[in-house]
Amino acid sequence: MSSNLIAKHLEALKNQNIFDEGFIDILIESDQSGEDGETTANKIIKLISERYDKSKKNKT
Amino acid sequence: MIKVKKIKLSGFRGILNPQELDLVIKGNSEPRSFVLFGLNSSGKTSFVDGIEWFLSEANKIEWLRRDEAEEKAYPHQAAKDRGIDSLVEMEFYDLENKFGKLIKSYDHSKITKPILSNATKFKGIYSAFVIRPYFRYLEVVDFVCSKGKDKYEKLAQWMGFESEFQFQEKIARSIHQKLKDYEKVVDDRIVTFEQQIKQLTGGLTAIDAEILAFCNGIIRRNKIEECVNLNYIWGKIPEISKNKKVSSVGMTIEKLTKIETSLATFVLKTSLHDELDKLDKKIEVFRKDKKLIEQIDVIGLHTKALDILTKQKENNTKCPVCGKEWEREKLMEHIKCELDLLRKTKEEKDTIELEAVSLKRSITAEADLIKRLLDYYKDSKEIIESIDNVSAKDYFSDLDSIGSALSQVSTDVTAKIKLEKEKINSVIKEKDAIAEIIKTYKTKIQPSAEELKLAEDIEKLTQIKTSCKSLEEARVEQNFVFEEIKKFYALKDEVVKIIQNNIKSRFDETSNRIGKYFGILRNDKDIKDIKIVLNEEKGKAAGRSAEIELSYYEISVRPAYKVLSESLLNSLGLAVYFTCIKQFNKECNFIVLDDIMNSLDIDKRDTLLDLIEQEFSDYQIILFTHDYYWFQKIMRRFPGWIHKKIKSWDYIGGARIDYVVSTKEEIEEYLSDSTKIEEAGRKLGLHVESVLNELCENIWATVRYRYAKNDPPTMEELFEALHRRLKEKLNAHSIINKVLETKKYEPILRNFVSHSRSNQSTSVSPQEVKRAADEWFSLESEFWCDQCNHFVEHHRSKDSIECQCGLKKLAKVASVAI
Repeated sequence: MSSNLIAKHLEALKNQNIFDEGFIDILIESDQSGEDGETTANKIIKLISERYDKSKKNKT
Repeated sequence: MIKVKKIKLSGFRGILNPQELDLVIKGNSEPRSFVLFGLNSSGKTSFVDGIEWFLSEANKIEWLRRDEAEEKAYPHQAAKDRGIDSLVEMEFYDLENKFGKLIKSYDHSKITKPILSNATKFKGIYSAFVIRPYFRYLEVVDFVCSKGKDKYEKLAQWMGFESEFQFQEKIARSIHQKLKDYEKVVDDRIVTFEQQIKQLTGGLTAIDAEILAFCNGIIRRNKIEECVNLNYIWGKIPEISKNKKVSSVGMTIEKLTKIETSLATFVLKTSLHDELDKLDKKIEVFRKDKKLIEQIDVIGLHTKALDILTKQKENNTKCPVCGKEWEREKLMEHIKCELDLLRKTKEEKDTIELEAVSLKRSITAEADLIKRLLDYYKDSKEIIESIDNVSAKDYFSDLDSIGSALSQVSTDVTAKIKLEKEKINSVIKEKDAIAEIIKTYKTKIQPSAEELKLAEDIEKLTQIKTSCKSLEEARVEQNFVFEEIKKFYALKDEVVKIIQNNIKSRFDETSNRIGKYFGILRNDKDIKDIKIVLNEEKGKAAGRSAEIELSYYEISVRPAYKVLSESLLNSLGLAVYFTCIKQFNKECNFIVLDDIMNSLDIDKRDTLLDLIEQEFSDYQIILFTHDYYWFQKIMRRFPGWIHKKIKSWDYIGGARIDYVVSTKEEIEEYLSDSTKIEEAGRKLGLHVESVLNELCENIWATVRYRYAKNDPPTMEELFEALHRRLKEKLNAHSIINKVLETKKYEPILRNFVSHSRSNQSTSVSPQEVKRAADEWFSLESEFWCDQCNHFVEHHRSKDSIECQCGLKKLAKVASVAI
């Protein structure tokens, strides 16, 4: 079950522009969907890999 | 404000035929508090189970899970065969009449998925309470004796931060762990390249200075000037190659040396076997319910069905998926349940597929490696025909099949992803054997030492270059990944901090009230400053566990169980539970209590009634007890409650529930039947003994100390003690004579009670028992206050004998001098 409190705080953190937005979005989705931690972690890893590939491409 | 008007069970737990508990008195609309007495195994707990199941959104009965009795144990075992519905019905009272009557039932073939009479209203009921409004004796014990981590989980349920707790757990356990694993994978890659370089250079470390020194050694030997950095070294490789003698032996040596060096640095990913095994186990669990997998394919169909339904207006309609006819509202619920189930299964499927994709990448990388190995073998076979490489081929073919299987693990039940460890070992053995053959062959063709050395130098430099480049790339990736993970950790720490601060403020909110309630339950001045604290010290469960802290004889103690007795701890558990009820259940005004006074010492059970009376007078208490003495006390203290008893219980008939009349009325009823004189006497005797005990305790009358439990004071002793104490405190009060008058009936009554001679039948007449009863109840009423429903008691500070409200007071009377 999603907690309004968590969703509210994550949104607030997003608006602060201090923390990584991509990761915040993954946590918001994780909270709302009730998915397990492993799925969330895989999404984080996937995002990092994609970012790395993109940074490599930018360098070349 | 929600209260309960009616609870009805049918075909559920120990209740087969429909049975109701009516919590409203005729002519009233607002429900009353209720107490049900029943001996053990009389069916009381079936009602508590029914309430728990009804109020559980997950449709579970927690305490049965402890006994590993799952949903199959919920329906009455004869209900299905007899065609009796299994259901729990509750009728609610609230000022806006939002809920009314709700029914949770199930089809016997699908007991895990109950049918709700109105899903929206059920949702409303579930969200009306934070802490579950039902509490059992075992839960008190569980709570106080649990470890910090479990206590935290329980408090999460009680204080309504369950979802924050689960989110915190998700971050701390799964996400954090998985990212740590990921960091390790990235780290391992670097270690592999460093190992390769160390093997090539024969060095202890893989730092640039050492590699540079090693490579400079090679180029110096080949009469080339030393370089200042590795990039210059790589530029010298073609120059050294020019020195190579162009001869057939030289070419062969070069080829074989290249192969030999490659084989020497060849590292297989041995962890693949374990990773595949882990995934295979997950898949095995996933495949257990084949039906769920099959249903995955009909997700689209369900979505379409839902779409059709939202446009349909008929009351009854067929489910486009299963074809069964449903009421429109129920069908929506039915499809929603199906979709929820499918959503969960799909999530599992997604997780498996994500892991499969990641593993497939590793398998492809491994297969590429083996393919390179096979190419080396092919090249070496052109020179040395006897080379055989069955194991590598076999392993390559396995990797290929596993790669294909990983693409369809969640849908293809035949997909096999097992990798035999033996095969990996065979590839390594085969590689070592081939390296040995090449080495021997090179010696046989006897090239010159210079030729051999040159070929080796060129190949070594080339290999070092490749490994250094890969290492550099891996380090760049590692820096990138670590920086990203650092960003995530910063976010994670902030989220956890927010969650913990919220939880801490909830703990702080409750502390004062816990102290107050504990004070009512125990009145122990040496225990104070009770608070729940979050354990933030380092450790596995730091920030995810809680303990109760208190001041005990001015010393701060944490956890409380270090110093408190079991009974004090139980009182503490009750104080925490009742605090949470008061603090967090603002809308839900009923509490179901199952035998909770068992957790308290007998002499402290009254204090629980004090707590209910003082702090929960606006709540509806629904109480189940097997303790008749306590039940009688409740009847006396709360005459406005509904009092019922379970007369008997059997498997088919269920619990026979009846109203309870007062002891006095019960005795009168017995006396009206000449065959029940003994029952009347026994009832009266036990009652007199029980009240005398209570009165003696209340006014501090001294009774001889007993060393043995089975040696209670006799009725005569109790009368005498009461008389002595009253005389001491009230001097010439008329009640003293009344006690003496009533004591005259003691010889009649004692025949029926604990000190009776059981081998003699009584010869007491109904008139005598009636006179004794009249005399006793008249005396009893002198001590009882109808206003506060308490017997009088001795107040030390005022040196008076009076009731709690002060209305009934026995004042000292001066003796009249004759």
